[in-house]
Amino acid sequence: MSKLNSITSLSLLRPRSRTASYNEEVPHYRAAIVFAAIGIMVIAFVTAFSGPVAAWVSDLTDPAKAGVVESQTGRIETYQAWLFPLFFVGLAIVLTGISVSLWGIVRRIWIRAQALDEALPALKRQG
Amino acid sequence: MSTTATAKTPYGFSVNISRKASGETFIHKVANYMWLPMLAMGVMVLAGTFIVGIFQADLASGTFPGSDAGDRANLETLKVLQPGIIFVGVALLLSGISFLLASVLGAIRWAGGEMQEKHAGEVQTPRMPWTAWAFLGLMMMGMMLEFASLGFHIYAAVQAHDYYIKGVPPAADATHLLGRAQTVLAYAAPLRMVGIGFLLAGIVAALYTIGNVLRFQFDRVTEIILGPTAPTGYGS
Repeated sequence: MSKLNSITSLSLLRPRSRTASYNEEVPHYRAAIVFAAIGIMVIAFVTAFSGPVAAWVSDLTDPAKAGVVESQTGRIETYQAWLFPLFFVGLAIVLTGISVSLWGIVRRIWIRAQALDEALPALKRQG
Repeated sequence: MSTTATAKTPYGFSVNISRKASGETFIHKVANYMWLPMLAMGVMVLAGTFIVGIFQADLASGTFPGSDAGDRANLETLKVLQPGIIFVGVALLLSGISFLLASVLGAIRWAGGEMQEKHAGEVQTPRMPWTAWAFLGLMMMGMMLEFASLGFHIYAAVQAHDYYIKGVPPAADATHLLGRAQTVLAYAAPLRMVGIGFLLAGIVAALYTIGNVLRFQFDRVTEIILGPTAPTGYGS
């Protein structure tokens, strides 16, 4: 049990002491929604930027605009260099939201176990 | 854990029966400690790739049209490396999620065991189902494929660098280097997607296992409250 008294990956999963109110909301679920919303905003931003980049790519294949190929290639490379990883940063934020939500579920399982531990004797008497 | 017997429950689970709670297995212990480092590494890798991407963008804006071979070689090297590193970051994040799912299973097993020990006299612990083994196998396979794919990207990046460093435009006798890089990348690209597929399939197996274990727990709690003669199948 001493491992639960310091902050470790394990102590973050299992509440250190008995919870006062079993129905108290764990903050993880709200945090998860905030993470997901931020992640989606980042991905939407990348999508909005992808429109002009797609237009520049289409210019490259237009024979009438052959003169702009060289400068356009540079511009496309410049944007793609940061847009591609930024999309994955957005995805990482969404995945972090999923993780935070799962973290909350693990804590909730331990809290449910505490609640059941208290309720079972009474339920058995009634059953 | 002192296992006294194995049995099959009325609702179809093979269980180990013991007097003491079984606690966590080695896999759950690893999962409880590794979920946070894996997630942190995944986020750091992806954030790092974005920062490097900004430098890469700066390099690209100065490289076209025409510039020295060194800048072009560095740009092409980064371009080849970027997706390989990004997918390792995503794989680390998915592994963190997988470890959290294993922690969910561990918490159900550990807390359920303690509860049964205290209130039921005997502890029934479901034996590790094939879906849990599949989950572990798929996760490990997925991680290995991602790192193998990263290895291919590094090799291709070296070839691309060697090609572009040979001058502007690169020497014609060096074209085989570019060909080699393209060939290796053609293998690496689907490989990294297969890796992600394995990791996601592992997550599906873990969720399936959680669903089954919850079904067992609901039935066990009902049995503890109402006694062994209780009608079964509440959790199905």
